[in-house]
Parts: sequence; C-alpha cells; structure tokens
Amino acid sequence: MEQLLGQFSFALLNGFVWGWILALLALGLSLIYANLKWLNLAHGAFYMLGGMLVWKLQDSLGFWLALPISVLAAGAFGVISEWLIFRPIHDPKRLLLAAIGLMLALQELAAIAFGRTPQSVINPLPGAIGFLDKQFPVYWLVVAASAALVLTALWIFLRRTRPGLWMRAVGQERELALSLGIPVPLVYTATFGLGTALAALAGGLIAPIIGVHPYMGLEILVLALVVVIIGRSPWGSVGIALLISELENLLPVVTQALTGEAISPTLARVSILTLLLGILLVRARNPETSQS
Amino acid sequence: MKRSRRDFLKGVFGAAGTLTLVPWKGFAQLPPILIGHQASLSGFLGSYGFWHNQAVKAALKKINDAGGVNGRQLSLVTVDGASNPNTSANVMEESLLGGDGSTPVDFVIGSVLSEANYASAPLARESRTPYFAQGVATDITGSKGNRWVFKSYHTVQGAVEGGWRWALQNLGTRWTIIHSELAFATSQAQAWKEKLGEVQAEVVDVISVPFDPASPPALSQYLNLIDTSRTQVLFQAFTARDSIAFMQQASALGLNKSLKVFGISEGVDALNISSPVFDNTYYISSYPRRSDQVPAALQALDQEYRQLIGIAADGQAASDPTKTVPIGDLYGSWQAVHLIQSAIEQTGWKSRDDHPSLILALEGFLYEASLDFPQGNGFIRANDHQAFQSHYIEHAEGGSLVVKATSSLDESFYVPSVDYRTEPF
Amino acid sequence: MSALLQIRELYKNFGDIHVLQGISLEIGPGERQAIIGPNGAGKSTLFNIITGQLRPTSGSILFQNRDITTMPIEQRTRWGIARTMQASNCFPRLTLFENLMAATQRGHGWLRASADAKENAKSILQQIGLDKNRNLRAERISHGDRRLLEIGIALGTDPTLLLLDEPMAGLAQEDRERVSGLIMSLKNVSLLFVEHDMESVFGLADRITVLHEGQRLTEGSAEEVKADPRVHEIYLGGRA
Repeated sequence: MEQLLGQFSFALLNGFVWGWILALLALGLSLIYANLKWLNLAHGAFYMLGGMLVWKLQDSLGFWLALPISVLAAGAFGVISEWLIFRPIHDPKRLLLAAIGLMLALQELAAIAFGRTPQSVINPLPGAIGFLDKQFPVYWLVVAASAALVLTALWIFLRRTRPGLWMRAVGQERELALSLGIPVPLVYTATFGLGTALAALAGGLIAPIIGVHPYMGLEILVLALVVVIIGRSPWGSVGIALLISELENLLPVVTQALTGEAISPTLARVSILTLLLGILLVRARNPETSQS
Repeated sequence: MKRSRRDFLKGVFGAAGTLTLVPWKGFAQLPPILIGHQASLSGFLGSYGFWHNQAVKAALKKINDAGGVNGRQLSLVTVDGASNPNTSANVMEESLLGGDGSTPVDFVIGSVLSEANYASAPLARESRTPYFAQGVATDITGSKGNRWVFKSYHTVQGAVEGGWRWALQNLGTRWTIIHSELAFATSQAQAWKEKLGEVQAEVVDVISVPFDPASPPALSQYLNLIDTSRTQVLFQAFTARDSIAFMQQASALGLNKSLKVFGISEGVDALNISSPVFDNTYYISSYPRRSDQVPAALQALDQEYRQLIGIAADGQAASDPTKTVPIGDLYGSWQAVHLIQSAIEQTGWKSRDDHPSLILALEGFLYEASLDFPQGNGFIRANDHQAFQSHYIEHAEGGSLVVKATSSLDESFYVPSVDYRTEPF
Repeated sequence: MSALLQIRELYKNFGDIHVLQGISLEIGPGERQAIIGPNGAGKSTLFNIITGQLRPTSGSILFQNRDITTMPIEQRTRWGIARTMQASNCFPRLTLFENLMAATQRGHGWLRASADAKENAKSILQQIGLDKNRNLRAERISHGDRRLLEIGIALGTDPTLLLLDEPMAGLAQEDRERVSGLIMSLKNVSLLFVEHDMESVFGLADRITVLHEGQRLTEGSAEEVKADPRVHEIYLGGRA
C-alpha cells in the first residue's frame, strides 16, 4: 500500500515537472501562432539552443547564470530571425519551409559547433526529498515551480500590461490594431522573441534531466504541435500539456495497481492524444459546441 | 548518391583514371579490393558510425601502406545508412552491391545498428558478399544471420556469459531489467532473463521503454515503476541519448546509490562519462576505455592501436578532447578488415568467385594478440561465425572507468544456436 | 480656411472603370455629413480613400490644411481621424474595457496604463452605455452593443473627425435608435458617414452629399436633398 501511494505521489509530481516544461514550450509556440498565424516549425531548434547553450556555458558560468543568458541569447536570435528571415515572407507555405530550413540549419550548426554526441548536463541542485519509499529530486521540483512561476508572470504580463494587451489584440484583429496605432510589426517581433525564449527556457530547464544533443528539438516538436492544435489557444495549450503529462504518469501506476500490469506510459500518451484529437474532430464537425 | 571515394575518383580522373594509375602502381596491375562500409554516419548512432569509419580507414591505410594484401590495395566505399534499418539496407543494395550500376564491392563492413544488420543479412546471401555485422544483438549470429554473415566482435550473449558470474557474486541476485525497445537492448533483456532464470537468480521485473526518437526521453515515469524494495541490481540497456537521459534521471532519483546500476559498455561507449551522473555504475566491456586499465600484456599494442586511430590515453579523441571514442566498439570494424586480410592471404583469394574458400578459412579462424587483433587472442566459431574474446567489468569512479575484474575468453562461450556450415554457398 | 477636411477633385480608376470622377467636398468642425447614393455610386470607394485604405488615382485630401492623401492609416489615427469598418471592428476575445484600452494610445506608460487612460476608457464605456458589461468579452455581447462598442473604440483614439461605415447596417430598430442617440450626443467631433438607411441619414446629418455614377449629384441639408427631383429620380424614387 505504501509502495502504491509512493508511486502514485511520484507520478503526480513527475507529471507536473514534465507538464510544466511542455506547457512552457507549447505556450511559446501557441503565442507565436495566435499572433503571427503560422506554426513555427523551428520552435524545437530554439528549445535545443537553450539546452545546448546551457550545457556549453555551464562549466564557466554555473547553471544559474548560464540559464538566463542562454534564454536571452536564444530569444535575441528569435528576434533576429523573425526580422531577417520571416518578416519578408508573406506566403504561408514559404513561411513553413523557411522555418523547417532554419530548424535544419540550426541543428547542423549545433552539431558542427558542439558535436553530435549526447551530452550530460550537471544537476545544479543535487539532493532529493524523501517521502514514503520514494525520493524526489529537488531540482525537478524547482523546475516545475519555476516553470509555473514564469507562466504565471506571463499571464499577468498579458493581462495587466500594455504590451501584453497588444500581444493579445494583434492576433485577434490585425487590421484594427494597425489602424488604432498599435505597432503591429514590433508586436510580432516581440512575440516571436518571447515565444522562442520560452522554448529555450524549456530546453535549458530540462537539460539537467535528459541531457542535450543537437537533434533534441525534433523530439519535442511533434508533441508541442499536437498540444497546440488540441489546446487551440495559448492557455488551452498549457492546460492540455498538464493534462497529457499527468495522465501519462498516472495511468501506468493506476493500471498496475488495478490489474497488476502497467500500461506503458507511451501507450497512455498515444491513447490520450487520440481521444483528445477525436474530441477535437467531433467539435470541429459540430459548430454549435465549437468556439466562434 | 551516397558514395564517397570511388565517385570522387571517377569524377576527378574520368575515364583516363585507370590509365594514369596503373603505371604508378608498377607491377600491381590487379584492381584494388573493394571494401564497402555501411556506416551509421548520421542519425542517433552518428557518433558511433563516425568512429567505426575512422577505424576502417585507419585499418585500410595501415594495410595499404605496408603494400596491400597479396599486392593489391584495399579501396574503401563508405555509405551512410542514417541509423535506420531500411536506409542502411537500401544504400547497401544500391551503392555497395551494384544496384546503381557500379562495381559491387568484395566485402561489406556492416552497420552498428542491429536492425540494419538484420535487414542486410539476406542481401549478403543473395549477392554472395561476406558481411561483417557490427551490431551486438545476439540473433545476428543466430536466427537472423547466414553463412555470409560474420561477427568480428562479441554479441550480447557473449557479454552476458563473460559477466554474469562476477555480477551475481558482487552486485546481487535480485534484478530489475529496464531496456529500450531496440534489438540491441531487447537482446540484452532476453539474454539476462534466460541467464538469471538458469542460475536461479530473481528477475523482479522487466520494464521495456519504447525507442522513440520523436519524443523526449521521459524515463522517470518508467523508473517510478521499479520495485526498489526488492531490487538489488538495476540492469539498464539504452543507447546514445537515452543512456544519458537514463543516467541523469536515475542518479537524480538516487538509484545509483540505492541499487547497483549495471549495463554493457556499448550503451555508453560514445559518451563522456566524466559527469557525476555516471558515478558508481558498472559495465561489462570488451576493452577498457582508459589505457592505464589495459592488461600489461596488451599495453604495447594498445599504445600503437590508439595512435593509429587517434585515441588518447583517456579514451577521448586525440584531436578533440571533448569527443569520446567508442573504443571497445571499434574493434569489431578494425578486426573485420584484418580478418579479411588474413583470410585473403591464407587462401590466395583473387575475386568474388573465391568467396567460398575464404569463408571456409574464416570458419574456425584463430587469431593471436597483435596489432591486427590488439584486443587479444580470439577466434571465430565455425558454427555461427561468432567471435569470442575476453571481457572486463568496468566501474565508473570519479569520472573515469576502472577495471574491477576480467573474464577469460572461455567464460564467454555459449552453445551456438545455428550451424551455418550446413548451408550451401 | 475653416474646413476640417477638404477633398479636392478625387479621381479613382480601377483599370478602365472610372469609379470616382472628380469628387470634391468639405467638412467643417463639428459638422455631421452623410454620403449617400445608389449601389455602385462610388460611396465605399470614396470612404476608403478618406480612411486611407485606398489611394486615389489623382486629387488630394487635406486635413486641418495638411495633405494626408498618402498618409498611412495609423498616422491618420494619430492625427485625429478615427473610423469604424464594416468588418473586424473590435477584438472579440478582449473584454470591453480592454478593447477601449487597446484603442487609447495616449496617456500611457511604457508598461502600464495611467490612471487617466483608465478613467478615459471608463467614461467612454459610460458614454456608449456599456459600462456594466465592461468585463465581458466582446464576442459575448449583442450585435447592437457591439456596434456601440465599435464607435466607442473609434472614440477611444480621441478623434477630431470620425468616419463611420454604414453604422446602422444590419441593426434592429431599437439598436438603431441607440446608435443614433450615441451619435447625436457626440460633442467636439466632426462626423462623416456612409449609410443606406435614409431615415437615419435624414435624422442625423447636417449635410448630405449624394453620389451618382462617380460624380457628386447634389449636396445640401436633409430638406434640400429630399426636395431635389434628381435625387428622387436616381435613388429615392426607385425605393419609395
């Protein structure tokens, strides 16, 4: 019984760690989509950049300085790439191709600069908190808490500040925003910078948990896209990210307790996503229950 | 399309190439012997593939510089299988076996990806080309192989046989096995399950983790399922990024302190293990990573071998101390080239028509510690074409791997599951 | 010159089609002027040229004696020209209060809105009669309320000249009266609007310009226009 309780609590906590990380990532992607109206397929590359820069800078600066610097650097790179690469392109198909191109280019550049071998990133907060028969790493709790904190701060920023209001307004009615004197191009650039910085933050935070390698961006791209599509809005994506992650962690423990055989977490995720996509399809076909 | 050297030469010298090269070779009017390398240069095993290719190149250079084999030069054709079974088989068929109209190579050094070996073995038989697989899943010299397939390096079963006695005595008898769903890793889980059953040790649980390069390696949710109260040994079978993820998450959860974390060295061969997350983990390996851990009898060879391939004494690349060389793994490719050389010299092989006699020579082939076989004495078992060798138990301590025990070649024997000699050529 | 907005000899061609053929008109301070005419008369084209969505082929527009013919929309807004559009007039997923905060660009800090700006937004909400709904999202309010909000957003830019594109279109009688009431209550702002609903036009406009086939047919007070037989012939006659 104690073991089951331990596993259940662990799954609950662990679900939050991965859920909040995924939420950071998905929110960044979703904000960009909501404003600029195209899916930034290069999002994963910024996640990778965050992770790899943290790894590279960690030895000389220490993790806690390396993290904000990596996030700022990746965000600044996001700003520059929006300005130089994406802004001049207006055709949606070309935007997607340009994003894929940027992703591949960044991956290969990282592979050349940092090597292709996966690398270990040192846990900046060794130590664990014990409960029941389990240990939970302090760093993981800090990851979940700081991701939640950043998302809360962002929520306040979007709700309570003028640039935040602009970011929400521009995505809804570009023409009106433009006519009201809202600096739409600036808002686009800022949104892109913010979104890519969030991806980099996710990558930097998760690096001490999973390590880094130049192709890690591809690992999360599909999941982030699915979360954004099912979530349908920035905060919807955050909810879906948490939901998926929690279910993925809890279902195996619950099924093991009930049947003696744990459903694989991967199978759990696939079933959840299939179910959610099913709901989405039904809602899309039935306009009464769908938004707008 | 993915060929390297040969196309390059064709392009540079054109049709006149052969004319200008022949006088330069003087008496050696015979064409070069073509060695194909089905490497995993890109994809998740890219860091292994690169070094295998380096080892093959170094072996060819060594042989060619000494005058070649029976007066003929060895010429290398490298293709990239992208760490993917189908791609590996396709590039082998197209660019190595003449599918694209080029001259078929005489021998193929295979991929490090076991699934790619499985997919390529039938091609080796159909095309009657000796294929030296480099993946370590046991079945390649069992149900998945054939008379044209050789293993110049141990398989999982050999490693298990070489390491189980020490592990049960020193690590514990209650095991949980956690493994990736790659042939490389499922082969390990299978072998250990059988072995532990045989010797009446307890398998507490076997946790399999899908191999999914399109998802982040969230292993903690699987680690959560381990029954830590009953488990003494946590045997892990992952590779590349999943190995790093496993080590980071297992050490954060304190599993490398509360349990004995054990594995085979192939999973971490290409990784820099100086990170504290590797601390206190154990590996069965086929060769020590650090030269100071190499047995005295092999020290001199070790030095020469490392120099030829470009490996520093600590196992990192001589040219770039940030890159780790999968030193144990490389022997497979290095030895494959030298097995080919030895068998050609022994049989007077002249062309592909002579392959059967070359295969007969390799069946039961004995080799002694030398620069050609710097890993030490060994032999190719006639029945299943499997190489046997000695093993080491390495322990990660303060960022380096220290040899805790060695086991002899004899200890790694197991009953062959096939006898390819019954297959006609 | 006392006119707030002067339009001089506007021509607009779309290929071979001459949509506007030398339109001139003036709007004085505080004046409420309507543009009417049958379908295809060129009303929308004229309106869009004044708002800045279209460029004229030739001719010029002067606002407070400065040429704004080629000025971008956002700059016109900054100079005091506000407008509503037929589509996309509010931010549907912002609250009414936020809609007005998005409209008002003056009196703000870089990050936070000033107390003045908030007061201003609240007073506009009161003016358009939607103060009690200020925390509702715009997509949740009725069609008529939304029209009021749209005018409120335009007022949020603190305009000297307000351009309304068919403010009564698609509204029920009751809502028309509320919109009329709001328009009549506006002080210190000149108004130019395009409208189909004749009753509203005659009730609201000080002066009416009638367009026909790209030319100005006539211009005058509601009575003068009503009395003009040419207007009856091309437009009112056919309808009444």
